[in-house]
Amino acid sequence: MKILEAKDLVKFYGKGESLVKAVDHISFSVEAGEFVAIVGTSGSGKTTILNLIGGLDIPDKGKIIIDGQDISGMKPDELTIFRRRKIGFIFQNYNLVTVLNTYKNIVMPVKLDGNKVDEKYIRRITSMLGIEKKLKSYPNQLSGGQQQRVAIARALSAKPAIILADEPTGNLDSKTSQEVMGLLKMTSREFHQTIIMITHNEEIAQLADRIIHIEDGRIVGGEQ
Amino acid sequence: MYENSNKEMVREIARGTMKVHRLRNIMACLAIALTAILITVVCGAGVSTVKALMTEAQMNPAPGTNGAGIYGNREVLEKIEKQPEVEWADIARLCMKGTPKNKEFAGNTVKFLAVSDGYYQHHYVELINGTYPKNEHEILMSDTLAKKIGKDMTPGQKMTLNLIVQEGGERVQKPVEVTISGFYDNPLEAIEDYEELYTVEEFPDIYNPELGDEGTIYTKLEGVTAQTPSSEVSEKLDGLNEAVGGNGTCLVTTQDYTMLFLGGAALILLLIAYGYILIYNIFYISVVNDIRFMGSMKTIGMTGKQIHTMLGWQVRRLGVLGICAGILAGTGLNLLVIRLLKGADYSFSRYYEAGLSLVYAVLVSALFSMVTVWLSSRKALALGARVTPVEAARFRTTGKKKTVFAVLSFTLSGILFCALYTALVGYDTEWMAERMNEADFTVYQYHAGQLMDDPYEPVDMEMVKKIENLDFVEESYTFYRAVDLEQKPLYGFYEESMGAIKYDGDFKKVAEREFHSTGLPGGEEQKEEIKETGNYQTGILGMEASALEMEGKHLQVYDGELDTEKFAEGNYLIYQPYYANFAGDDFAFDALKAGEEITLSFYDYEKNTYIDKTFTVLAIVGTKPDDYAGEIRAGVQIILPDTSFLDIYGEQAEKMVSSVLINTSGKEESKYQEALEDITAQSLNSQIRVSSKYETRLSEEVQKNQKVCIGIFVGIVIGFIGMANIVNTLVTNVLSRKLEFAALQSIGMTKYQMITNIFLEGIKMILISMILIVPAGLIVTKAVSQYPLSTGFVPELYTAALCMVAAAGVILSIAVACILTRVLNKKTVVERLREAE
Repeated sequence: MKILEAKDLVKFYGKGESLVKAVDHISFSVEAGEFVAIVGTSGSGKTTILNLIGGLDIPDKGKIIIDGQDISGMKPDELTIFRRRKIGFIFQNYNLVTVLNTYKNIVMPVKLDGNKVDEKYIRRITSMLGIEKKLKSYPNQLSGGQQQRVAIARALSAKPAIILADEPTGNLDSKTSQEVMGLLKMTSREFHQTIIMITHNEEIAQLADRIIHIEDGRIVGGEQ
Repeated sequence: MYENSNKEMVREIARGTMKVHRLRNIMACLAIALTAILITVVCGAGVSTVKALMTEAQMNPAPGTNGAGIYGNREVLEKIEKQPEVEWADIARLCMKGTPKNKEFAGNTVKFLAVSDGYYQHHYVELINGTYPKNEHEILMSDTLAKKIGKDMTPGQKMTLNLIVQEGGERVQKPVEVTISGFYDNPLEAIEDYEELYTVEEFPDIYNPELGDEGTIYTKLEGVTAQTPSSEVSEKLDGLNEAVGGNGTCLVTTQDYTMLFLGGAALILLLIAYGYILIYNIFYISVVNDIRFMGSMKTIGMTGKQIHTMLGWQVRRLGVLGICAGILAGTGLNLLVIRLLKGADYSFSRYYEAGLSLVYAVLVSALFSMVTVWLSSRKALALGARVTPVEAARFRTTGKKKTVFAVLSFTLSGILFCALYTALVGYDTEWMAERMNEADFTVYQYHAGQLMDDPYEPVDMEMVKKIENLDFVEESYTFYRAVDLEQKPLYGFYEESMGAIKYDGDFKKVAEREFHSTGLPGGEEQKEEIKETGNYQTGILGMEASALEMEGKHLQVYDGELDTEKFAEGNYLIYQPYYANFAGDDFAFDALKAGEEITLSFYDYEKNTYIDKTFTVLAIVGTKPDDYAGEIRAGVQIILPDTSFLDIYGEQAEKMVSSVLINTSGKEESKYQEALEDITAQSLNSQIRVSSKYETRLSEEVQKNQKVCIGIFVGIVIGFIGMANIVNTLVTNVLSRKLEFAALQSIGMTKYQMITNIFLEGIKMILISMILIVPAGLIVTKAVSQYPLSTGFVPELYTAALCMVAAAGVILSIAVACILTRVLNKKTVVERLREAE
């Protein structure tokens, strides 16, 4: 089942002579439970694609259908709520809320939606990610790897349709990077979770089920 | 663990992020508290001031009707009481005109009133001990008068009142022994140097029958209160007067407090604007600083509404804390301010009291402070809620528009500050003292220049000689005003000193030319006087020739010359056309010329004859505009040398002294003032007053200090608004360029260079403002520095004000640059660069 369909996406920045086509007629789809890596050099448009898929930016042309819903025409608040429920984010710099402890960071998307926390599920993912003993700690008390695990847990907590990971190992050393990638792979399999990861690192990308190559705003390999 | 609601999560984040923003919280609380303090103090002092003014306005004789009455006798009283619109009425008759000539009453105006029985209750004359007077041998005295004259309040004491009664048309002193039947709690205590003695209604019939049976019938009309507009009361009284055949009405004019309320409202609006700017800046800067955090929260799934709720939660908590602290501190300050105002030199100062005004201040302050906090945080909260994750990542505050606004705001603040400072601090009290006083000290007959309800009491020549012989007197000049010593009252009032000239011959020709387009001054009354007696009434002044040079400083000469020697010869007069007073340069007059001869017939009221004298006109003059110092005033048309005046009026002239002007040699002005006041008090003539440059200077200094305090306060508040906008622009600009600065620092920009960069941005705005302030401020300041707001433009003060504004701008730029650099550098360059990523 296709969990994500991107149809003929176009995104421009700037005007006139400084017009840049960040995304130039891209179409691709992702199956449920797939782990896809989008690889490209700096300025290739991969972050723009992630922003478009994540509802953080609006395409100038094209459609994005996630879990059967077209998000291209949604209003900002609708997108926010959709994002909260259907999309989990993992950032390069973790983006944890420093004033909340680990547990509260993890359950934040669920609580923001006004839903009851599935404690059993939370225990499971924290245990799997090896952070069950760090639930009362604050982000400034955790290492980079631990913070990224918390970020992964947060992304998983709302049981989203897709997890979008933007250079999740960008701020980590190689050993921790491997660990985190391993965890991502494991959660993808364990929870049948669709993961789309942006990276410039080919080596890391190899761990994904499929790699889509982007160059100058176009897919140059790996679309379905 | 948690309820199924998303509010708890939002509150959790709000609580958590609030703890992190300690500096912002302190600044916000201080700003809100300061706003609340200012509003509380202004409201408290404002309400107290209005109450004090209103109380002062009500402090007049017959407070039960606020002085509203009809002139008439008992017959009229009985008619009034039968009218349906009248609640009650009481009659109060004078037992004598003026104050009884008792030495112990010196320095006080003591009215001896014969009143009907209901008077006491209706006008708050409550017994402390003893009884109300039951017969013509008994009087009722106030507790304050008893204290002043050193009497213990034991009823039954005897005393002699030295009354001035009418006998055979003459005013004669008549000692009358009375018993003090009781003492009352003086409701008019707050009127300075004023007392009332009471006795039975029949007293004047027995001891002063020639005075007549007319009194003032104080009438309480249905629906009329102390706050009813005078025009309404006057209309009702006039109607009633006509219906009952009364002889006129009287009432105390109610004050119009509209300007005061408007001024107070304007000040509160200004404070709200100040509070708004201050609080707005703090929250706006805070949101701009956290804009990326807002963006990341939105990315995770926090809606704009939830962000708004989160920020609103913080604003409310800070608001409540700040407002409570501000109101508490403001109330404490109010008690101090009211105490200070009570000791100030205003006529209404003694009526200040705390009490309900503090409660009003608290309520008003709470309301306005809450409104200010709500209004000022709205924009910041809206920004935080509105910004999208992508916008947050790329957030920049808009440049030009904001900068232009900041520059204009600082310019306006600077102009207003410079104008206020220059005008108020430059207020020359010495100039004012000179403007209001011709000589160092003036002892004058108040009634000579003013309408009063007492007959004219001549100045005692013994007193004049005493004054002239005082050892500190270097020079003295005596002035005379012709007056009808047997003047009859008109509608209960005696006019100011007027002489009479036959409306005939030379004078008639002059008058006809002078008043051909305006008609005779004095209107119908003057026409009636001419018709009945053939006399024209006007001010006739006699003065020493040696005083002419001094007097001339206050005069504009339209024709001729003020030649002292010629004037001393006795054959010259000076003429002031009726409308020349304050007329200025443009006054044209050709009815009489200098050098012309004019024969005048002066009427002698006592002998009922005319004394003809021919004079040469020495000069045509008019009092200079806004000059109140000279003795040649409005209404004085004929000025004669004192020798001629004495020649014309003979022995009567000794009773026509209108003023004695004194110049002193020493510096002990307060002692001289006291000595003169003592002498005038001993004369037992309450119509004699003392004025001086010393007193005027003191009073002007007090007023100046108060105006300077208020003015500078307002100037600083306005100035602050301008500075706050500069700060806002600078800070938000720099915060939105955090990445840029981080990048610059990563390639080698030092902290000092960063400070310089930010400082230069600030100083550029200040410089542009100063370029606008200097010329525009000069125009405004010059306009504001003219009388009556000030006494003239002082360039040195304007320069000083400009320097202060410039210095404030420079200090502000340095401070903002240093603080911002310090705040930004709390995180390392890498941390800031990563934050941007």
